[in-house]
Amino acid sequence: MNHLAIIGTFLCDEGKEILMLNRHFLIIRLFLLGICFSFANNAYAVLDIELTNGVTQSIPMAVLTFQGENNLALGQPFSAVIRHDLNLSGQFDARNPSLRGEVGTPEAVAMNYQYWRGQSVDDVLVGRIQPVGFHRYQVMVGLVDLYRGTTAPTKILINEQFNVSDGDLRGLAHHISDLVYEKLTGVKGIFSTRLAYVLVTQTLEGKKQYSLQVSDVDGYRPRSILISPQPIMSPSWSPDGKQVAYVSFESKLPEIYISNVTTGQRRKITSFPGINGAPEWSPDGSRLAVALSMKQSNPNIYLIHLGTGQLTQITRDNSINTEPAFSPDGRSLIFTSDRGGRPQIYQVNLGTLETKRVTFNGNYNASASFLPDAKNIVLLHRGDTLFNIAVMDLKNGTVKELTKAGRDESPSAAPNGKVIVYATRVNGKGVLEMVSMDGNVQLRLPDLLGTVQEPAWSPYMS
Amino acid sequence: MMNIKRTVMGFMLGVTSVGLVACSNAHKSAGLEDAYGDGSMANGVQTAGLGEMGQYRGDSMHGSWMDGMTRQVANQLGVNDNTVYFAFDSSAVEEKYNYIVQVNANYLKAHPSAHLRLEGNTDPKGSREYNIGLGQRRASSVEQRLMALGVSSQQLTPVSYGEERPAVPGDTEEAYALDRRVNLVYTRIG
Repeated sequence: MNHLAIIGTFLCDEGKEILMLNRHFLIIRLFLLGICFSFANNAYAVLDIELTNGVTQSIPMAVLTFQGENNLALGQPFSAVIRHDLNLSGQFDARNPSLRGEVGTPEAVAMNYQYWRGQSVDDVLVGRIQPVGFHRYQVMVGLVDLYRGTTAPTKILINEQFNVSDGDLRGLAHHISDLVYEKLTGVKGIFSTRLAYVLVTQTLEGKKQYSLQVSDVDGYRPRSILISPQPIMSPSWSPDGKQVAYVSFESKLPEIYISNVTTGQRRKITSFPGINGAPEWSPDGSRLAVALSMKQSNPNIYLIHLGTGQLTQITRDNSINTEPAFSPDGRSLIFTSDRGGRPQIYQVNLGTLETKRVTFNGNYNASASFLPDAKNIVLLHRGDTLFNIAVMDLKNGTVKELTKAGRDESPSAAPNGKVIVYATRVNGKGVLEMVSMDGNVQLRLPDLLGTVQEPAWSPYMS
Repeated sequence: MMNIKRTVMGFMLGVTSVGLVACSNAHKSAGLEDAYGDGSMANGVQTAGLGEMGQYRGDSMHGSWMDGMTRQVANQLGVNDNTVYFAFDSSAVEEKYNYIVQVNANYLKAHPSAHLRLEGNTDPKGSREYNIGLGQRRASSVEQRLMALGVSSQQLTPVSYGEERPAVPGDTEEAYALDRRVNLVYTRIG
């Protein structure tokens, strides 16, 4: 691990103090992540997180500083990773109230519940980290709910211990965030998932460099799985989270590849004349839906069976047909087509090939994908002149805009359907933002080095 | 609870072994699975996994579009900018580009082994993949004009970069007008 150098700093508790003082802030910069990792000769900047829109309704809780966390080389305190995760969801107001003395155990919090209720929090997370050998740690964690007790005033919801190496501490912090999130909301957490995205930088010679990056969902631990002097587009995760399909122009012509995220090894899937674009996995992982133009001047939607290579044409006309996305049951695709003159979303039944138009609201709808509930789609929507991210109810056609910057694109939903990541431009640079499904919480993840685009949220990794 | 503990430890062991695999394969993309070993060092591309090593980079190989052969032919044809520009949301080749299309057609017919790549591009508004479709339309539109003038389709490769290769930086309408274009790029000259 000696090739890994941490050369930055963090100033993490500032943002949180402001958050406690003023719940209706407009812009809070949580400089949680101002660090750089250096791998071999490469420097990668992590995404920097800013909270750009306030929290309205959220569960107030205390995530206390873990005993022993100050001695870890994590880049930010262990408990700050958890606090940040929970706040990122928009469903929590996770704070770190200052304490007189130490709070070691969930039992101690339970005993002292009246004090904690006085701090205006509903739940308290405590923890302790102890070295137990060479680069190994024991992490104990307890979650106390101050109001849900039945036989006692409080209830201990989590009381666990973990044994991990130092390289897995950050992964464990995300895992604990998932446990807390699920205990308190009943919904599976997404903090152990990942983002894939395209990073565009300039080389020292002034040439563009494109990398396909994969990071933790909080922007930390970014790694390149592909670096190319030519554009990379449209990353899409396999349903098991082990592979990413994408378009690479490395030969100067577009080709679709699949990379194994762990090993970096990859294979070429298509290299037909013309457009090879918009790969998207079927829910069972057996097929890719893609856009191919073959010898024509326009793309149509095809399915490729990854085992046999068999190609099945789905759309067949002279308009632009692209951006296929499977319904969660795998039986239909939604896609973008300008067959009616302007780009709109259509849905095709893969059994009958019967096709119907889905969007009627707005003069430009594109980049649509299903939310896990199968009832709503998230899409790029232009009502009048501004491109924003919106959610549409398939049953009644209602379109709700979640963003309003006007230069937003490439929406991708978290696997629990609660947060959308998308790309936008700020000061001439591409950045990623996240918005909660109620539109109330917006986070920005700019990269320090270049322009970031086309985020794809991974599925659950286990 | 034991399961979770086991999973975290298993994950740790997994990462360690992946790191070793990535190290041993640092300079090729050969595979545990043969299907993945495509030897992808061509075209200045590098691949890597999330194992701890395996990330390295070489020099970019490709410069701006109008260097080398294209500049040579363009000079010969008396053309400053071997590019056709388009109006917003249009793939129609305007009359003012007839000259560029004609002299390139003449060159291609006179040099049957010459090859032209027609690189369609769009401004950055809207969906990236939809813009790939728009760029292809523009490239095909120039291809059809050249073929109407007698050029063999064998000499032409239309391709779309959509909005991925803007002509100039900047988020202004002036910049966008320069983005909406087809670059006529010679990949072989006769």
